[in-house]
Amino acid sequence: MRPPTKGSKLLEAIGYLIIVIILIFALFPIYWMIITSFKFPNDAMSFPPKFVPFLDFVPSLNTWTGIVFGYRLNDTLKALINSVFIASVSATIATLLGSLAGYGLSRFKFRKWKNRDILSFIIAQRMMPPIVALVPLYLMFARFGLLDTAIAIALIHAAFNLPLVVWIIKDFFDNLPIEVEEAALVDGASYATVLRRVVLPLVKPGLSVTWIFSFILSWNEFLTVLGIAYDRAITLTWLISTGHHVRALEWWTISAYGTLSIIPPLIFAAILQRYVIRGLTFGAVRA
Amino acid sequence: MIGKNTKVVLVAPAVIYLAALLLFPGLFNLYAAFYRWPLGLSPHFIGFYNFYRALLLDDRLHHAFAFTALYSAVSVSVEILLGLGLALLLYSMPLNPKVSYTIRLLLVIPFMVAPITAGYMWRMLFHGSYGPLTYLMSLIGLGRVDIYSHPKLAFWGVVIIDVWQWTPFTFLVFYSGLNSLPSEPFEAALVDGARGWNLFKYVTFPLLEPLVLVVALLRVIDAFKVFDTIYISTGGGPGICTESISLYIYEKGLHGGFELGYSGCIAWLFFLVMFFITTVFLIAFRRVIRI
Repeated sequence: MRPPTKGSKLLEAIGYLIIVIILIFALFPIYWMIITSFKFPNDAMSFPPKFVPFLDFVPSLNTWTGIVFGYRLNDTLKALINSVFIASVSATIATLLGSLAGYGLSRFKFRKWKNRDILSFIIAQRMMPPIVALVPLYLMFARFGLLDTAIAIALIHAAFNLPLVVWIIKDFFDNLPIEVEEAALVDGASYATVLRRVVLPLVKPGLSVTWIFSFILSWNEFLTVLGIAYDRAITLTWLISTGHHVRALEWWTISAYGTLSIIPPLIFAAILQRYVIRGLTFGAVRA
Repeated sequence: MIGKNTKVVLVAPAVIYLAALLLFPGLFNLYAAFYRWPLGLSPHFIGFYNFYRALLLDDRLHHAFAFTALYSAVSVSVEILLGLGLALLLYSMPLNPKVSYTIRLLLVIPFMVAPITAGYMWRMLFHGSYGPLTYLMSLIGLGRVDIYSHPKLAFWGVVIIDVWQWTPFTFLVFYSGLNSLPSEPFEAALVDGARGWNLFKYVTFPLLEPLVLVVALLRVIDAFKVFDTIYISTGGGPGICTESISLYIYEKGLHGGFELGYSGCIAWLFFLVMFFITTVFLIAFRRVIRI
């Protein structure tokens, strides 16, 4: 319920002003990065800086066609392919294992280890800082000869994101009546059939949401990539981070890679706006 | 009808997977913590010396810990206060649903951006020679400083990145929370004559409190793990001014040190601290949070 508004025009104007300031604060850094990727080097390195395209400077595709998809095309493609591969493979593993576990924890009672214990174990893994696991994982993958491979990174990302998937899917089933499944079982369907014909269609939206979540988290992850990859398995985040080491500060190049890196999360966020809050708070909030 | 093992088959893969990729490395760290173990050489048992070194001798670690704690406390407080204030503001304004939807959609963007990209953006905005914010600051007479290489300001530089990314998040959570509150308590309080600050203090905030605490806990856990944004904006510098625990472990374990024993020991202590914070928090607020 909304509290009664006083109806003062001045207060309302101040309110709108604050909203505008917050929006500028939230969006200006992104705006700046995008326009920098369309600047010639001398425009990017001018003082006073140039704020408005067409007015202050002539936008150019130089960075995009000359560098990102020009002489660094190989790096760019390698990173893009790795990023997409790692994010989708890890999201698929996490969603597959996590949704089965989430379903099991929601529908069955475990006796020896209680449901609560299993859930706590799974959530505790989310508290574990990635850096804590990274050094041993580095040694483990070195032993198997999997250093600098995309699959190693995908496996680690899947583990990081599994707890979130379990939690979301469990929450999803907790809110879904069990009667539908029971009715199908009474009608003589086998359990596998019930899972495939009844449960799967019901949970499909939940599965796509969690898949996209894991995809974004993996796509944005950097620390594991930094630890495991150095050449073949590099991702976009890795390219962004090394931009200022490899050569002198090429702001325009890093900006272009940064712009590339925010495209998929933005598309997904627009689709999933409703679910984003709920997912990131482990279902504590129903937006 | 349902095989006895169905439930085990459903849950076991996830548990085993997590144990193999996260629990096992954790246990390995605990084992390594009792050895002096430079990578490539054979481990040498030294008992509790690593713990002694970490807890009493290593000033750089203590600095990293103090920095991380202060960084988390400041960032999360600012995010919670700003987010709550904004949510109350928008909630009390009669907004067109389309406008309100657009605002919420736009505010999802900052926390969808990769932290590494966010850190890079802010470094560029505050660049000493051609950053737009440096320029605006010089216009109002603050001089041209690169805050990411300034010993005092670097702290605020890394805090602002976290605040930029996560204030929209806290705002959206609180805003959704406000919109899903029951209306009866408000009606009763209004009948009793509660207005403004009293209404907030005695009705709105108590109803919202569990949400505020959950968000604070989730944010503190994440803020303690901070790595990406600092790695790219200051690299822990100038000197070690902004070195977080994660950065220090990375430095000791992978980047330069390859001291498996010592980095394992710190990593284990780090995990214990996180566990401790979470447990204390959950116990202290068990009245309002149920998980």
